[in-house]
Amino acid sequence: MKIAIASGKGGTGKTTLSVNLSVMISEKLNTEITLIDLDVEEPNSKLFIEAEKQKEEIVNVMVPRWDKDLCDNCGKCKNICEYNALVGLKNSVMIFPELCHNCYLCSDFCPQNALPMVPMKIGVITEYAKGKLKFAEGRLDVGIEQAVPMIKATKKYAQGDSFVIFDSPPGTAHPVIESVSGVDFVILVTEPSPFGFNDLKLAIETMRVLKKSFAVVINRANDEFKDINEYCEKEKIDIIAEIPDKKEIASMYSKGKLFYDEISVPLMKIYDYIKGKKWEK
Amino acid sequence: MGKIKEVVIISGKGGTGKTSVTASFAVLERENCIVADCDVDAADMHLLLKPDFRNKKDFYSGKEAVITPELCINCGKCEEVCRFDAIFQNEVSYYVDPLKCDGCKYCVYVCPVDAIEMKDRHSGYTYISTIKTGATMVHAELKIGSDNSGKLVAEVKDLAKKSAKMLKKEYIIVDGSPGVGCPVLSSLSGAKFVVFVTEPTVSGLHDLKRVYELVSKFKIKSGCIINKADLNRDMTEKIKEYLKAENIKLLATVPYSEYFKKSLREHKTIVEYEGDDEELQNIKLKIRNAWDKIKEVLK
Amino acid sequence: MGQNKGGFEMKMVITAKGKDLKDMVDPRFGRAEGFILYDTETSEYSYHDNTENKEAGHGAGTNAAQKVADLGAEVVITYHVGDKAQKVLDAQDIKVYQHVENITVEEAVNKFLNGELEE
Repeated sequence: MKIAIASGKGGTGKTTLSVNLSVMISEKLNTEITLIDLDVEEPNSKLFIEAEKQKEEIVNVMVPRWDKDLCDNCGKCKNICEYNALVGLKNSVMIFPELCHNCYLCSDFCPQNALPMVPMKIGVITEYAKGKLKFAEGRLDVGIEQAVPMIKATKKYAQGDSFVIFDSPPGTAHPVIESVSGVDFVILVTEPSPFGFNDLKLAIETMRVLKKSFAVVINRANDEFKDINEYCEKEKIDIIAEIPDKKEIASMYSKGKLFYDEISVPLMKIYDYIKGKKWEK
Repeated sequence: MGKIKEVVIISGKGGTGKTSVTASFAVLERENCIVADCDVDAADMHLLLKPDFRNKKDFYSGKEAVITPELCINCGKCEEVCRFDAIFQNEVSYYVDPLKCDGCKYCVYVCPVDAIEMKDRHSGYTYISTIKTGATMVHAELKIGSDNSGKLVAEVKDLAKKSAKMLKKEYIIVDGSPGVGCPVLSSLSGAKFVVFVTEPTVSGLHDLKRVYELVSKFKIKSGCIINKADLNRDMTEKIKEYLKAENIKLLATVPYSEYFKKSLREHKTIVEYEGDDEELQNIKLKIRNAWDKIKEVLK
Repeated sequence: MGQNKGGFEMKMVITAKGKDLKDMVDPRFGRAEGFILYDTETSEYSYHDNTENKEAGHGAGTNAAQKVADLGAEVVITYHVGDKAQKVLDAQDIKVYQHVENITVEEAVNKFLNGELEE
């Protein structure tokens, strides 16, 4: 069972939910679970989990390198790169690997094979373990923006595991699309405010375009803003659980502490819902 | 009238109150400013400022490959070379999934019958609206699946600068993009003052440091607002120490308050929310003072 | 046009908001509206549109720098050149004079010829 936890914007409580849910499942329910943090620009989950590092893997993408000796200055590569990563000068070719999208066009196009593709490091995946919890996070090197290849590589750490939670990056762009690709269903986390509602609708639209099965969890729930509940009822979208808005919870979060005991009721509701989905498959 | 004073409000992390702060400053400055919402991935400021969504313009960014089915001979060479798994075959011909196409143009080069062409990718819309204070607001919508390379942000900023010049406005107030990538850098271009909005949590301080690292290279005057400051007094102190060490002006420490939710639910900024309560008056004063401090620095 | 002091005989590129010498210098390089190529020997100039780079997502600077190199310019005058574009210009020994703004292209050329600009 592979699920992704996503949201339309940052700060709704995705990581809070992913982390507390995973640790509760591994410790209180004594069940094997894999948590993968795919917020590769800034993975935050580790701040909350104390676990032993198991291994670290360097992630590379392929980029062209100019082979001065093979090049005959024909100039054919000059305007071929759609990303402006290759500059053709009078007697040389300059490559800007940080702009490269790894499409191989320039490399395959060169009649002299003077642009071989070579690996370039974009980041690191670190794997941790604590009891029945397997946890991995992908982290992009500073200055690198290619989130998608990093997310693809980090997701591979869950290959073969039977119960996986992917903590997605926020938003609705390609990093999120890649994160939810291949999962059985998506939990959308929102908060009860006009902002939360606005962003939830964007996230729902994205899930519908991707034809992904999804349901909603309301974080920092209160009794006053009911627009989201009414909307979900009208659209026949399940609200799996509501996590209450309590200052104690906020306080523990601020200290980087877990609080699954305080929110065990909604977390169990979410766990039962996921298990229920498993039988639907 | 002197140079235009651009103030950009950012936060490395989401959910700290960046948009609410920006909207409050905009309301305080009334018609004397152009407001720009550069948080194009998940634009929210319109919920508070009520723009009328006028001057809608299509926004194009990048290109995507399109196969003409009638010309396709089903040789499959395009699918062979595509590194983005964007090309598929159906009963009629090969076709490109626009969500996956990266625009590299490789397939165009290998197609033996020229059945593929690159088309401009429609990525969203920009608007130049009037908001409830009578001021002009420039904002945008990014289409689902479109990536924010920073270009749409740059377009919003461009339109804001042009509007400020044409309408002779003194300030441009910008709700910056979240994170630490190109969109943030794009949000900051031309800024005369940067406001960091943060919260006293482990993740808040962590992300504040990351985003400050990025900004410090540009040597722009900066200040910080700590929201929900009483949530964790130790963390608030840690943040204050960090600000002092980096010479970032502390603009305000705003306590957690139910009034933020109350005003948001009524689609109002906190500075517009009416009430005699001391707690509310205190918060409104802190935000007004923060904006005054910024204006003072920019004189 | 100012005196050609020091015997400079070369082509220079000034980022410009319009086609004419009376137009304002564009402070951007990669995303400039266009480039004016000015030949100090003949005092002739030509305008080169930069719309394709203006529209680019990333790498506008590198492509613009390639363009400038192709035009045979030895000097670039603008407000700001980014890191990547700078690398390309350095590789071709093209000198860059930055921090020029709020004046016309003509005024910028004169300042350069009078030795008033700094690299």
